Amino acid sequence: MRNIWAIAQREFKAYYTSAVGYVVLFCWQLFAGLIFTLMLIQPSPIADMEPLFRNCAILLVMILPLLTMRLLAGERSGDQGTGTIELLLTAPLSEWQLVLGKYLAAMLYVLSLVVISLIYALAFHWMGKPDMGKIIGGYVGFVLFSGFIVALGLFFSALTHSQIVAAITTIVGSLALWLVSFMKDNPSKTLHFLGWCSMLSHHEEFWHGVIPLTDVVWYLSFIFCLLFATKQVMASSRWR
Amino acid sequence: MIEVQDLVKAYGPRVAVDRVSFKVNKGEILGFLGPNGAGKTTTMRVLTGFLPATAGTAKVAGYDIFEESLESRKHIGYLPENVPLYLDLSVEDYLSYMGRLKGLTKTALKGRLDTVMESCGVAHRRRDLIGKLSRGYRQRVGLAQALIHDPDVLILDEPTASLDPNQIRDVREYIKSLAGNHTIILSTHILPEVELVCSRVVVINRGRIIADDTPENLRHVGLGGKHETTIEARGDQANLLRTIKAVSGVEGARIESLNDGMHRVHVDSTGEVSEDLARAVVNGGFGLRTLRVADQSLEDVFVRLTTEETAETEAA
Repeated sequence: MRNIWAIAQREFKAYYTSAVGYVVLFCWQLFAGLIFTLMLIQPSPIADMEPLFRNCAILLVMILPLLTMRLLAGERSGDQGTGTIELLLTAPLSEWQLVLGKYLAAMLYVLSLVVISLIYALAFHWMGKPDMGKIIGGYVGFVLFSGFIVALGLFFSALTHSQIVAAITTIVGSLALWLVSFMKDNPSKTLHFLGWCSMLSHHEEFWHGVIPLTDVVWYLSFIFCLLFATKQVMASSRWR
Repeated sequence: MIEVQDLVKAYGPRVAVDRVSFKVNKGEILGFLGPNGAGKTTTMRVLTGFLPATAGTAKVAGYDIFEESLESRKHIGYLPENVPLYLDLSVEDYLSYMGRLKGLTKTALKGRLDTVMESCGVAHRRRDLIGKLSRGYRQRVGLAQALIHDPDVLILDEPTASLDPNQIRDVREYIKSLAGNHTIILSTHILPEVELVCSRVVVINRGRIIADDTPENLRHVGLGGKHETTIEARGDQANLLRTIKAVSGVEGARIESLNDGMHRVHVDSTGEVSEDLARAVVNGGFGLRTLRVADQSLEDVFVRLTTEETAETEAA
């Protein structure tokens, strides 16, 4: 557990000692601020964060891969160091600890995005009477959605030496999963299954302020599977 | 402390390490010697658990490196050849991160940090970013990282590479001072280093061990029991040659004339005969100017061993 925390701390700090952390933060703030303003200048403004949550999904798909690309590929490539993966794999550290530490770091970063955007929730609360259930549901969905993209990004980051390749594959992978959500109402079983595999098919309810157990379980299981796959990729370098 | 048995590592059809077996006893410093690409780094990477072996077994500190990888890794401090560092961290942050990964508690870490930075000579740069350090300092930070958890076994891949002569001397002295409490394998292709630091040498070439002995013995073996002595003396040429050949142990002698009546004699002998030779030459009434025992250096042995091996395999 100590090892996981050590890795998470180091990686989390690395976000805020490099430009990446601030650039992503800037994009997120700009985007959230823009939507907030657009809602206020409407003829009849409603204290509702749903438009923010809805629109930020695509932003997350574009920016989270930029956070996850360095996590494992960077240790290999020597962009921040010099083949530091050799240190991690020869330290008395299990692959699970390594993967979970990295995952935790990126999720802590996501949480910092959540904390900063709470200012809008507070502003709504101060200005109007927002449906708090909707806001909470939106945030839970936001974290689960991010957790899914981060897990996918970590997996692709484990597969390659190149951070750029890791980022591109993650973005393309997420967009593909996004698109297949349109198939979820298709009568064909295969297409329906493909649609079911899309994170978007499990997201609508969160925006309406509902936290459906099935969708939470869906997210958690997919995240677990991705992390397990990542762990296996890391362990495979030691397979005889 | 370290036992390696028939270790094989193949990259596809290319065999990098071929049935390597050796042992390192507690407190020993083993020099891993070989030309570039001989399989030194590969062997070390297998021992540290970074690479899997194709066949064979190895134990470090009593733990099988394949079956009990995590346990064995706890006992190893490893300095890889390319000195992996996080350039965005300060020396102190980097070392404490490494210490924590290796399971040190906060209190244990505090004590170790100062000790290690002091002994590796980086204490005065502790707050500097590693990215701003010179190659030599980075090498020392790498060494400090290997030592941070005070491991029983140290595996150092070319620890003195890219250091200046003063730093090399410091690092060598330091490594020597670690022997006894630590078991050390260090790889190098600098021969004097092996003679200065190591108590035993394993010479590896093309993935195979071709010698495993103390540096002194290796030098003798390299000579094949033959000693060569050069004498420069004044006097009658034929007489001088006769006197020298009469000394017991002398197998052959070649004489050449220098100017001003001096002669140089190259003497081949079995065993050490320099004292007898000197006595015979002086008693014979010759003017002895020079007597030099040709001490074949480990370098010659190394070149001979590694090139002979290559020639043999190419002939076969």
